[in-house]
Amino acid sequence: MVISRRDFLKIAAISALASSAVLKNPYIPRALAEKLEREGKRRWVPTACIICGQGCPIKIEVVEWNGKVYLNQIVHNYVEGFEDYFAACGRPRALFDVWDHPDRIRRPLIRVGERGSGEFREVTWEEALDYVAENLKKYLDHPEQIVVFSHQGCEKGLIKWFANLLGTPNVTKHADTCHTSADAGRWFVFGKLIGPGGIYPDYEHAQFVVLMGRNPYGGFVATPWAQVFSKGIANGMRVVVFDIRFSDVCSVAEKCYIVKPGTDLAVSLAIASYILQKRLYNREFLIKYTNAPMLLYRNTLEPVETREIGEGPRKGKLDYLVYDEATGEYKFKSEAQKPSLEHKGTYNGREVVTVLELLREELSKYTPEWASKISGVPAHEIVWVAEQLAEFAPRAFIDHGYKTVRWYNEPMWHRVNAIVNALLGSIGTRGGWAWPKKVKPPTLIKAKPRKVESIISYWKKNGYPLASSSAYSMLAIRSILEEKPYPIKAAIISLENVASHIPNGGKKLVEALKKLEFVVVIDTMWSEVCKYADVILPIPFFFEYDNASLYGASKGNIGQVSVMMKAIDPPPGVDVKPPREIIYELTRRIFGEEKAKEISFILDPREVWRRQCEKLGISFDELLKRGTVAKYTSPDYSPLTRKGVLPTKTGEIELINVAALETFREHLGRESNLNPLPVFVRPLWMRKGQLAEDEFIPVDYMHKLTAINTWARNTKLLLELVKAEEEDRVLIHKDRAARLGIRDGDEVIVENPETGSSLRVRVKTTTLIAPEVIAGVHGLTPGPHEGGKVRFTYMPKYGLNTNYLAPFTILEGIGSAALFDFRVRVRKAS
Amino acid sequence: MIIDLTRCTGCYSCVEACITENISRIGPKGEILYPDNVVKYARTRPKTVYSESAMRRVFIQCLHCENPPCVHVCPTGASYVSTEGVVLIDPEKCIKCKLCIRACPYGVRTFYTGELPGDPKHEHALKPFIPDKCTFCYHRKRGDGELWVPACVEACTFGARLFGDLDDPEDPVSVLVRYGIAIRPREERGTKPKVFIVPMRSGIEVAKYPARRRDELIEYNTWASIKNEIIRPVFTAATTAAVVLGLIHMIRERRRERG
Repeated sequence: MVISRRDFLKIAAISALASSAVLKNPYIPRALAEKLEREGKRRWVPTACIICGQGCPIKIEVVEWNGKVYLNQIVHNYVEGFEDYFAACGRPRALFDVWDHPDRIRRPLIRVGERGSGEFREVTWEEALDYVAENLKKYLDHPEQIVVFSHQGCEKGLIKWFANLLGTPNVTKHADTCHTSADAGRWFVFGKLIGPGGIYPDYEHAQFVVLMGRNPYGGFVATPWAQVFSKGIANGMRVVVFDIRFSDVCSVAEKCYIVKPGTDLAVSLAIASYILQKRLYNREFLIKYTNAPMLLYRNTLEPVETREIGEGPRKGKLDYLVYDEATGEYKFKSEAQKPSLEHKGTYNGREVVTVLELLREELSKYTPEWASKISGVPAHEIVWVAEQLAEFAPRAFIDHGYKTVRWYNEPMWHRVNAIVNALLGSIGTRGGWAWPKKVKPPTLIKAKPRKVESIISYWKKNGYPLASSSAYSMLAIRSILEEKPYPIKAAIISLENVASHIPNGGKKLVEALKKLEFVVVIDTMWSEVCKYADVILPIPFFFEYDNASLYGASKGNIGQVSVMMKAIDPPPGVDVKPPREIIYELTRRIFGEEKAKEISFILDPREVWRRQCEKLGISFDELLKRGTVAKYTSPDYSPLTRKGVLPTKTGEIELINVAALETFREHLGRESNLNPLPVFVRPLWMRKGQLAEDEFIPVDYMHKLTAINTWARNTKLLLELVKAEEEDRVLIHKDRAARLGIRDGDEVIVENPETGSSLRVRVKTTTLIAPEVIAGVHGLTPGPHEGGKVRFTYMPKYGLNTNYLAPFTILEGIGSAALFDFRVRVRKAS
Repeated sequence: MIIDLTRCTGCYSCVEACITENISRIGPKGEILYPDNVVKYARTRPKTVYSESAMRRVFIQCLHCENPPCVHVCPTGASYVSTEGVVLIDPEKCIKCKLCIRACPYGVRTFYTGELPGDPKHEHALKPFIPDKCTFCYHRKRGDGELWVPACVEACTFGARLFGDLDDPEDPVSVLVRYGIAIRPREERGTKPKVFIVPMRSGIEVAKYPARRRDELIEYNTWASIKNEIIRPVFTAATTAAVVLGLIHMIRERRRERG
């Protein structure tokens, strides 16, 4: 081979360049890093991560070097004395990826094409704000015609305040498509809707925990719990899992049972029944803290005699008749020495029975053998779990779950789980369900809405008495579609991806949004709902501005308050405004200078923080220095909470709800979630007979990297990690796949014939899954909501999204969703 | 280092911290750049091992063996053990023969051949066409005799990663190893890893820890002697010959041009 002179010179030039590049290669060895730190060019900015909304304290390393400013490591912010709480997980570490994300909304946008076309033109902030103000002004005579969908993000209260200033009482969150089924179920036991954040699962001190439909290891919907769970495992906590598939958490569990979809209720009922039949319950706890000894008339199920308590923490609550075993007389509980739990007898010539005894009789038909036939879990295993729970109580419990809007029977299931824990005496105890201690930063600005009936008060009177007053997005969609109680004309959607979370979002939601006159969306990156907006107002990410409120961590037990400081400017070419400026400018344009002046202090976040600190009794300087301050070091271990009273009629834990016996009397004997007595409620899919060969039940599960944020689902690094172990694929049982001619890696079409919605997914076959289901990571596809300028560069287009496939089912009486409870047909894609 | 799998929740923080620290580069605007399929090049990367009834995530990374096959087979001394016992690579000495990649029983070494735009963050960051692996974040060493903290250890908020001094009997890492709580994966390979794992009760992490079949590997003792007695002399002779031939070629070229 002969090298020409020209080639030789070329090679020489390249190698010279390469060697000079090597010489000039910039890097930051530790010594340089320390020098930069001394010069203030490398700093750690404390803030709180709001990706899953729990506010774990984090520190962001910002490096200013070589003419560039960049985000480097993002780590947990350990605060002296509170190092053991909360945990920065894998999600915030990829924040540098969203900073200059190609799908970032870079300027205010106004729609140009038809609504839903996804076509927008870039406008100035002046034009966008004038346009929004002009349109909102149209509804000032009937402000209730505006509905606000708002997660409220990190700046709690700001959007709600603005809605109320406009005069509308209609502000809703998305929790009716997340957890309100369980909240309603727990109403029957504790007298109020209790969300997942209202209970603190004390894994750290627990000895035996049963996870049903919940995976604190795999799906980080609340990282603080994953951290406590991990501590529990290290402390020797034993775990048993009931799930439709063999998941991450099974690897730390002692036993893992695969159940048929939506049949966990049968297992819970059998556990409760077994504990009652074998009298494995905690007698002392039941007498002291529950209404188990309450006497009811057997024929009418009414409390035999009640009277109001005159004093003490339970003032105004009901005292009731019990049978006193010490004296053999009927007495009020407050006067009885030894209230009987198992009494059956006659009082005033009528047959009476205790609540516990009635429960035992009612549940006697739910034997482990019965549950085994329904759920597929062997009867002796159910017995074993019940016995273990009883043996290790009160340091044993059934977990309280998180996402609980999957099956139609979830309210009943979570009610029964709460009853089981009450029977074990594991409520308000160390190693059981404890009550969290929270600190809420106060809202400094307040406005009252106009006195008109809100959407939710209308629906509460018309079929949904147990609907959540703050989360009713599905009922709001119904209001738009049915114009009840009045026509809705406009929507403000702030950091709330309605198109993604509403069931049958592709049709129902689009139909509803298209019916509106005006839709404004406030967001950081393209989300599915952006496609249907008239105006989009882009805001910075939480680490790009000083937030207009302190942040109170919502899960955990230490009442932690964090300050959310700006770490870095948005990248060049991104023209965004923080929500506080948007709200101020809109107030000025709609209500005039004077009103705007009243709230002008929100433009200075440090002033807001200072005032909030004063009200909370926290040192402002200490907070600025440490980034986060915590008030408590242990949760509330009292069965009836610190106040010594629960919001039930008796003020106690109610195994059978006294109010429900009156309000929901017509549901007695019915297969209903509102039945005052625990009964088996079948999941909807089971009511239609056997599954056909190509029929499956779709299940999606949370992934620790993509839950629960739209931009986490569309972040390159996080999705690289999801794909690294093929977790972006959808699981089907090997045998069933083989019968349909589907092989590993094939693309298949999943279709819901009822709604006509269909998705293309990529399959992974496995034996570690219930044969009835097809399961994949939640929301890994935008479905039909991508188009025009609205795009999702890194989100796979072949994942499962049950919200999109599901019918628009609203649970009777409760107003929540049943996102997995339907059948889909699966066929190989051509 | 100890990876405590009883505490690990598999949140991938360590993997991301490693990518941020060692793989990613800084773009012109300050944006962070990294190659596609970046997880394959992370110096600690997840791998799920399965048995009939269990699965568990372990981490594939350099185990910094006391008896490191990769160092034994390296013909140029590019793979070496630092005074602290960290197995490192000197890119200046590396001739890209990839023997080290073939020799590693755990398959940890990677070889990136794509483009990598932007500025690397430190001198031990990933370089294209050089075998790559965990350095225990050696660039974080301060030189003051104190132990440094690798990025993955700094990142783990679940307390699943510990970094310490095995020579110090008081160090928690030494204690966990001494009491047999933290154990070596694939002890039978005789490589004496200095990365230990705390396994779950089922122990599948240890039994199934990914390792290559023996017949896939280079027998490194043979290779070590071949390297010292054959390859090195041949390599030196070949290099000298190449230089001489190159000079001759240049002279001939020049003459031809003049002529």
